[in-house]
Amino acid sequence: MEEKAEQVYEILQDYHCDYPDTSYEMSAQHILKWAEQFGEDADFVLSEFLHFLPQIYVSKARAAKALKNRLVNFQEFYGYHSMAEFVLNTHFIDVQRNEKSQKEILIVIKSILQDDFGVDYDQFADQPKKHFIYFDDILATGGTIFRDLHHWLCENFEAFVKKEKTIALSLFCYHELGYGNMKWMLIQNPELKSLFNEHSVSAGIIEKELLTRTNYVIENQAKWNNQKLNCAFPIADQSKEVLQYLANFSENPGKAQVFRVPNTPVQEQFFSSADNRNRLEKIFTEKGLELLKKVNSQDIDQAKRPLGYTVRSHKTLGTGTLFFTWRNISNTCPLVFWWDVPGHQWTPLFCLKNRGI
Amino acid sequence: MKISERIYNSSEVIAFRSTKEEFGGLSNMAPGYILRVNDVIIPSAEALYQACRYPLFPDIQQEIISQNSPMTAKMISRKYLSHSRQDWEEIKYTIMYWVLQVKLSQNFDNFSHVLKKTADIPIVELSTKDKDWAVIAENKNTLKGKNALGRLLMKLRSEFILENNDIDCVSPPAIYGFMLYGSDIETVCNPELELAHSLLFDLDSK
Repeated sequence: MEEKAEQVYEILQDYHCDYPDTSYEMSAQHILKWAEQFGEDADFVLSEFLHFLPQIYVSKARAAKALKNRLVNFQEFYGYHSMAEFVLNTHFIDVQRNEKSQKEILIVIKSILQDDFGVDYDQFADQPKKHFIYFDDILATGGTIFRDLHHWLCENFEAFVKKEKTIALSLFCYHELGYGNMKWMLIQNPELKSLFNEHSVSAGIIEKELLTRTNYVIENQAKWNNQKLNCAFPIADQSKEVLQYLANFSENPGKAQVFRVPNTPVQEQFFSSADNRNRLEKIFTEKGLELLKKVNSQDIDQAKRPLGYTVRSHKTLGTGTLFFTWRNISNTCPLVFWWDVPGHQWTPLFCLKNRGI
Repeated sequence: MKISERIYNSSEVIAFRSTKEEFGGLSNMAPGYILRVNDVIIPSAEALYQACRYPLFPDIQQEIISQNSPMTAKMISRKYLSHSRQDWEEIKYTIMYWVLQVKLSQNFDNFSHVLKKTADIPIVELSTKDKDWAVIAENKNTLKGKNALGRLLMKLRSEFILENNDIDCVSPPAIYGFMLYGSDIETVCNPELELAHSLLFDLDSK
C-alpha cells in the first residue's frame, strides 16, 4: 500500500489547492489516508487507480507542454510564419469568472508566449483580431461552452460567415456526449437559426467552421460502438440500495443510458481488466451513495450523484469523469475523489477549489 | 409500402431537381437540414437514409455519416452495396418516410415552410435516369416514374402540414434490426423540446 501511495504521489505531487483552510495537502500519507477509507478494498482501489492515473492526470508541466504544442498547431493551421504574427491577429477569449479554469490557463499561455517565443500577448491586445480562441480544461456536459460560444457567434456572426473572424475551441479533455450536445444545441439554437437564415448559410457552418482541438476524449457515448467508455459507468448489477436510489429518478427516454451494457467495451483499454472495472465502479458508486445519504436534506440538488454531477433530468449514477488537472477537480468526477463536507467523515483525495462554485 | 409507376403532366406539378432551386429544400441532398439520431449528428437526410442500409456495419455507417457532402455520402454508400441489409428493397420506402419525418421534426420551421409553399400540388423529383425515386421526362408534357420521394413528401405534407398533426417526436419504424452504430434506433424528438426540458444540459461544468 505505502509503495503504491508513493507512486500515486509521484504523479499527483503538483496538485494544487489554494483553498485557504485546506488540511488536504497532497502527500503519500494523504493518499494512503484516502485509500484506507475503502476498508478491505483499499489496496485494490489504489492499484486500479494507479493503473489509469498516468493517462488522465495533467500536471502543470504537462499542461504547459500541451499548450505550447497547441499554440504552434494553431499558428501553423492559420498559416502564420511566426508566433508574433499569429498573436498579433489572435484574441484569447476571456469570459469566465475569476475562479474558473480559463483565467488560469490564459496565465500559463501568456507565460509560454513570453518565455518560449518572446511575445508579449498584452502588447497586441488593441490590434484588430481575426482569430478567436476559447481555452478551457474540460468540457463535461457542454453547458458552459455552449453558452459562451453561442454568445460569441451571435455577436460576430456576419464576420464569421464572411471568414473575417474565426473561432476555435482548445481543451485538455472533452466528453463525447457533452461535446455532441453542445454542437447540436448550437445548430438548433433559435437565435442562431435566425442568423443562418438571415445570412443564407446552412447550419452545417457550425460543424465545418468550429475548429476543435483536444488532448483527450472521454468516450462516453454509450449508444455508439467502439467507445472506450474511459469513465466510471457501472453495469446494472448493483446493490439494492443503489437500484432503489435510481428508482427515485423519473425516466428520461432516449437521452441518457442508465447503465453500461455488460461486456462493453469489447476490449478493455482503460481499466486493468473488465472485472476490475466492474469492481471499482461498484465501490465508487456505493461509497458515493453513502456520502450523498449523509446530506441532511430532502431537497438535495438532483445534479449531485454518486459518480459526480450530471444533468438533472438524466437518470444516471453520475457523469463519472476520470480526468484531473493540476489546478482543480471537476465536480463531474465521482464524489469519492472530492466530497468534503464537515461531519461526513470523509477525506477527499483532491481538495475542491472554490468549493465547487 | 408499395409504390407503382405513374404519369404526371409537367405543367401541373411542383418539380425539383437542384437543391438551389425554390423547392430545393425538398431534396434529401439539401444542405442545412441537419439531423441527430441516437446522439449522432448527421449532416443530411441522404446520409441518414444511406446509413440505414448497413445496420450490421457501424464502420460503414460512420464513413457515410462523416461526409459533409450528401453526394459524397451517397457515393461512399455505393462502394458497399453488397453489404446492404437483405430486405432493403422491401423496406426502403418505409425507411425513407421515417427519414423525412425526422427531417421535419428536427427542422420544422424551414422544412414545413417549403412543404407549405407546395400547397396541395403534386410534388415530383426530376431525374434523367431514376424512375424509382423520381420521374423522367417522356416528352414535353409528360413525366413518368414511380416518383417515390415525391409521393412520400406528399404523404408527409398531408399528414403533418395539411392535417396539422403533431410531429414533436418520431418513433422508429417496426423494422427488425433497425440500428445505428450498434444500438437500436430510438425515438427522435424536436430539439426545441430537448432545450425546453433541459434534457441535454443544465449546469455549468467546472
